[in-house]
Amino acid sequence: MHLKISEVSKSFKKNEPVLSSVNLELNSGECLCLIGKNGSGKSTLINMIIDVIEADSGQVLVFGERFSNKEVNVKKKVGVLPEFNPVIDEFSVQDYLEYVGLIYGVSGELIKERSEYLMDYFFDEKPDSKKTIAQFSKGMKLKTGICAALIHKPELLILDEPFDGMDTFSSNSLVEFLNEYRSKGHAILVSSHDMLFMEKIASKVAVLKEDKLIASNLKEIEESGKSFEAFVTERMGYNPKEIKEFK
Amino acid sequence: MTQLIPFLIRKKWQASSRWPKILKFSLFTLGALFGGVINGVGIAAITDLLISEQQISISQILFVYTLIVGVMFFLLDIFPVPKQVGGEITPYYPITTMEMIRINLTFSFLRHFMIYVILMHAILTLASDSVTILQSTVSFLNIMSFYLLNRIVISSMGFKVQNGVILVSVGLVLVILNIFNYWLNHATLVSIITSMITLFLLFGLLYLVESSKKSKRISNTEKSKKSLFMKLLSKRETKGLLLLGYGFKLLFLIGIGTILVAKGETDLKGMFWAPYLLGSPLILFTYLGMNFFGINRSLFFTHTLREIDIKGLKKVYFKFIAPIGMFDFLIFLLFLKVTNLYSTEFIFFHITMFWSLFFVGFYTSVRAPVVRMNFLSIDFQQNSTTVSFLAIMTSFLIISVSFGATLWEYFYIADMLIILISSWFFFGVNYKPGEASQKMFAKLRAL
Repeated sequence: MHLKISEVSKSFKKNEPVLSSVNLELNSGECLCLIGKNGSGKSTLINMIIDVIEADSGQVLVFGERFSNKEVNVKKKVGVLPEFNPVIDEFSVQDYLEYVGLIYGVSGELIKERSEYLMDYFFDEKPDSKKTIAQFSKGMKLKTGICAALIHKPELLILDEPFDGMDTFSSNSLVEFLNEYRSKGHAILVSSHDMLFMEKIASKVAVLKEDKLIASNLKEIEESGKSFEAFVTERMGYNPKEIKEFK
Repeated sequence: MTQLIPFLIRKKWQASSRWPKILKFSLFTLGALFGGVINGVGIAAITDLLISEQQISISQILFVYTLIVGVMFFLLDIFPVPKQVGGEITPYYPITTMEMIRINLTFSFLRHFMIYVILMHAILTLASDSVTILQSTVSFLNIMSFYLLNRIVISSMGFKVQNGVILVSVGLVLVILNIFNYWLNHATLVSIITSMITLFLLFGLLYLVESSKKSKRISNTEKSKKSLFMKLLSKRETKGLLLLGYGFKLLFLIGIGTILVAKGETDLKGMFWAPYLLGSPLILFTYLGMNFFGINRSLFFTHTLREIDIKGLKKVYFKFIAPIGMFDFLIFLLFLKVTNLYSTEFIFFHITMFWSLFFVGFYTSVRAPVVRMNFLSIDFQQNSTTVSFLAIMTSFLIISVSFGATLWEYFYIADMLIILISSWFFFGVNYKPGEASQKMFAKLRAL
């Protein structure tokens, strides 16, 4: 099992839990889409998985181990694009990918080969090696972050809001890439608000409502007779507000 | 992983490989090399001379020198922004604590100032007949303690380090204990060496532990329950100005104090001006008081937009400066106690200085707040030139008047008069924000 979350709870204030007794499993060849409203705790959950913040109770196991500094080999199997995209503004895209690749222990030649492939796929034109990341738009920075998460070909890929700030064409390319990547046996965890793209990649759905997480598989959605969007919206408990005259 | 450090060094060099940067880098390198050699030779010559004239002991010289360089090292790269070297190592990267320490240490030593200090110590040891390798090493280790303290402060600014503040406080207490150990107990060189090494090892340990923590700052959704004072103090700019003010003040006081004690001076005729000026709250107000509403501009605009008079601003200013002033007073008392210069006149003078500068600082800050990003400067440009200049000149005038008054039999009456006039100006007069701030209103409203 690539990821197992058992009875995880987290609260930042007393008696106001953000997540309560969350359980989740992710296996090889699955793509789990994490959906929830703003502030529902999606990023908190991802941050707990990658050990940026600690859970109040419960256990997060990645490849059967805790995701800590001691477990370097476990960390090497995971690629992450967190909410705070940690690209280094002073570097060029090529330099940044080399930097991340070296951290993950990828050989120089392989870094070059994979960087070429990823840049060729995700960018319309190969980024200028003399340009620093600071000179790029939000979408370009996001693409750089995604490439960096993939440079070591991780067995588990975690992407927090990968479609946020990306144009439709690039989002479609990402969808295709993720589906292809999953078909090779890699596991993917994606959080997003964008149901259009989530529907295209999901093999499992986990909806965060208030502090609870409800996981469902595609079969369950099919059996409900509802569309993906309608099913998820209902799970989220979304009530459209009546429009009043704006004075 | 073995390739990562060479990669980061290569990038660091490449980052400097544009024309102006190459020039700057080369100048800094030359400066570090020449500065190290020249200062090493210079300090060696002065040390040998003073020792031969038996004016001062070797440990006293090294103590002052170490503290001065140490404080400079401490202040060096805190301002204006903490620097990130190479790149951030995020917590989910597969890097062990030991590897993290290795990276941090490599980059901590690749600095011009480090080259300068190492070279200067080497030359000092070689060129001086009085300084031994042991003394030079102790001095170097002490300077390194300041540097490590600096790293901890920077780390606590950029990263979420829960106990960063505690570590810094512990460090400062240790430094103060060292000073007391030296001055009050007339400690032997051996005990100072022991304490310095302990200090170095402790800071080293704390630094290594802190630098290996990789918890990234995440947004805190908790509502702040801090007092106004703590809220203002937690701002990076405020902390920066305070550190700068106190840093310089301590630097001057330690230097002057050591010389006075070493010479056994209790009669202040010869050294009259220095302790007065440097012990006064002038430095504190130059950095903090006169820039107060420049660094807290949101507070300034909110209050002045809401109110016709500036009562709220006075309250905010008072609430922040009063506790700072108390601490400032404690430092001065400590200085008087250590140097045996304790007298009612000095204390009265300090209070007078504080109160008059308190008013001048407020007036300057309200009339011409320094509303720009470079918070470390007093604005000598645009419309505030006259006001800033006036404020500094007024401060010196007050000092001169008070100094004259000490020789005068009406000293206390003169001081009381200054306090009364300042109080009346502060509490009784209603100012309007200056032209600079009005221009800022217009800009804000246009937005």
